[in-house]
Amino acid sequence: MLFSELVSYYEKIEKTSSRIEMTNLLVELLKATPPEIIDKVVYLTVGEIYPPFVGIELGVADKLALRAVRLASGASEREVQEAYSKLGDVGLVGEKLLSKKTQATLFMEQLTVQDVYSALEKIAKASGEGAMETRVQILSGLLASSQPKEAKYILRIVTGKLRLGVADMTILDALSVLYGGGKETREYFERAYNLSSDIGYVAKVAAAEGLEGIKKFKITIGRPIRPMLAERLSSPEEILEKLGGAGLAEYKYDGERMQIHKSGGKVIIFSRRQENITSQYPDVVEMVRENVGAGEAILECEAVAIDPDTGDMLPFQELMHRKRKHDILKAVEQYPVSLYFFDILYLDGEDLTLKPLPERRKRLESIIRENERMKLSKSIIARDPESLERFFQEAIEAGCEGLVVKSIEENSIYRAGARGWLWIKYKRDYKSEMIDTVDLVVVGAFHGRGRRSGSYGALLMAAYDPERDVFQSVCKVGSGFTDEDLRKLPEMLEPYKIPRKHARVETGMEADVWFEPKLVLEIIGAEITLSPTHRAGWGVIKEGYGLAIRFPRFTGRYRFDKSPEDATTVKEIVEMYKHQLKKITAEQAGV
Amino acid sequence: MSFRMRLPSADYFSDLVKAIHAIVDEGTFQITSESIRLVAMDPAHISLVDFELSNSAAEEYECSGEMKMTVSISELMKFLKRAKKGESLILTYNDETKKLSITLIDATGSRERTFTLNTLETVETRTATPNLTFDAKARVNTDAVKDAVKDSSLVSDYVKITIAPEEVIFLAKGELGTVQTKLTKMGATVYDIETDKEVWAHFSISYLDKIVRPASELSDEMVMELSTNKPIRLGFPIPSGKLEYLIAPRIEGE
Repeated sequence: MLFSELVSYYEKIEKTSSRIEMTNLLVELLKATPPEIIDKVVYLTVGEIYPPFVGIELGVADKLALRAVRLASGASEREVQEAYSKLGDVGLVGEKLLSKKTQATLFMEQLTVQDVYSALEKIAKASGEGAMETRVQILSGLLASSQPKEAKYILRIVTGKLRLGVADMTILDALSVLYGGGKETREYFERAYNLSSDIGYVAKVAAAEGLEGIKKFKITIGRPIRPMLAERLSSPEEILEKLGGAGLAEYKYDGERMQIHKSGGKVIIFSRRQENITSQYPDVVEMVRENVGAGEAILECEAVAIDPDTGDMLPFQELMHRKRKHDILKAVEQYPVSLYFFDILYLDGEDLTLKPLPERRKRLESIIRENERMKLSKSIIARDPESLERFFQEAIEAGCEGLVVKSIEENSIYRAGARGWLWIKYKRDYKSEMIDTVDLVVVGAFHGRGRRSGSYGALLMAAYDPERDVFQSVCKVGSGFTDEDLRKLPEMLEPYKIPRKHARVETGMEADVWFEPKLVLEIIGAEITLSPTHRAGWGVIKEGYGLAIRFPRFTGRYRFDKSPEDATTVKEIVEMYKHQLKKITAEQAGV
Repeated sequence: MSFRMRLPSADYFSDLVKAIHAIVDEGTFQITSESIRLVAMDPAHISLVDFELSNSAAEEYECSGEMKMTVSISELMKFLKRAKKGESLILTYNDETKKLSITLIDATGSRERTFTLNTLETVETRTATPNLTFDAKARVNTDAVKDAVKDSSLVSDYVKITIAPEEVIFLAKGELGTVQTKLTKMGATVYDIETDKEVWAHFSISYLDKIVRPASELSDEMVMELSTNKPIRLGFPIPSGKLEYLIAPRIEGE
């Protein structure tokens, strides 16, 4: 197929503003395309050369493209600059200057689609020293052989600005008309697309096998499935009503959603947007290799940054340290992650997306070997609003964003690429940021593990209630302690050790070791939240809930100057909560 | 199949490859029992290099069959730059391992350095050498042309080359001024002109410069062949071989 033929369709498509006409033109174009290059034509038409998950982009800068135009046309630098500032579109500049090309070439050939595609591929893959020069050379060679109109589109594609208005969805329309016989078959094509995220591949299968091939379209390891998405509601009652009275409530972890493809020892990790992020997570690859008992599988999990010393979950922002190209191994060590698996879409040749959630969950449980760093998502079956709410507050306190509550009915399939009411998010509408430090009393401790074995892994901290003369717990703190602190702590706390919980201490937590309330430490946190476990301000804000500090840290200051009764009071914490309580804006909620 | 060639001067071969590198970054050598030859066009298809070195240039030459060897010229150049004055060179290529080795031997034969280069996959191109005829031919001093090109670059990106029965003229016109170089027959810079009419065409100075500069190291004289508004052929006579270039003209329409 000659590239000029493709260009003549592009010109027509560019002129139309009617979606129906655009679809008709695409149908004509695809009909005229030989089946063996239909994928390439489709990628080019949406302005790409590969599906996005391959992660290789053209993205040639305008400046570079203009240099190629200059080389190919023989125009002077000034002419190019003038044309560019006047026209503002590299494509138009190329078209104009090449049409009055002064530099002749020794050899002229008619470009085929294949010629253009493989030149673009070479441009995209050029790397290392001299890559810029190589790109300019290849592009100018391509332009030298092209007609002005062809040059216009080549330049637009190569700079990522084709903008014909054709999206993956428009291609699906055209495919369903051409190979399905009408728009009523679109759902099959859409499903194939949602199972592969690869519009070129869907076109290729359609061209080779027709509607039948599309109907039995298979999931392939290495092509990401578009994720199922959740709707949102803000009360447990509404959620349960929508789900028919019961649902699987899962922690909504504040991490990075991953779709993991495993085939033998090969593991690929895709982000929520189908980017290949395998290279950022060599540790995840290793964990999956060792702890997933399946030959081939497609799994979904949430990767959450954790404090390497305490195992506590950290906010999502910490994962940003993994978005780097160099020193990945250092980042892996400094910012480790835990994985929480929540779905399985494919297992050893079997497509599970059409199975109900309880069955998928069972299959998932059967192949994940849980350990410290690799777990199934924490979940319960919720049947009443109270237990759903309690589970929700627990999730928030543990550092999660909230819950995802999922249908467990017969029709609870995995709807790839769709947002629907089978999954419902439950997130907070309000939050109370913590601005000041507080002085809290150590009332208990938890044994350390790993690097902290022999010392304490975390301390149970309480605020003082002078009215009733009791100490009520507000958090379990493990972060912020230096090695020096960890060494000193057991010794420092030894004199206060008591066999059971102190009579003046109130908490819903079971500590490993209890202390007489004596030692005061300065603590800072991210927020104050409602808590079903901690007892500070019990019932003041909400019946059955106290207040807790989310993401607490020791500031490093021992308040030896303060007696336990000088510690921050429960009343002060309640005031801090009320004072800072603000509605979460859409931006913060990441919606 | 394999190929082996020993050349008396590594330095000289390095200069030859440098002259090819002026145009291309990657090229395919056709190796036969007679010669090694490389014909390649730059990516923009504006210039072409035609290089050939026959077996008579070699002290030893063995070739067990016809083969093609594609190499990165810039990588090859890196190795050849290591050659020192007085060193001789052995090139060997094995069609199975696809490796080219470059051995540098000093004059006393006491030091031998071998560099091995992985070759590239040969892509069959549709490139054909254009069939051209020329109305005029001039044999001129290479340095005089090199200077004429350099002078022209002061005012413009391109230069008009005219070959007339009695002279060769380089004329560059820019916004700031003009530069003209006139080389007269019978002088020390023009050895011979064969034409009965005046022919001319415009050429990119950057192409002329990148070709003439390295080639001037190889040959004191050069042959320019031209027809009006047609490509120019620049030939640099080398012993037991051929080094020729074509450059497409700029067409001054307006």
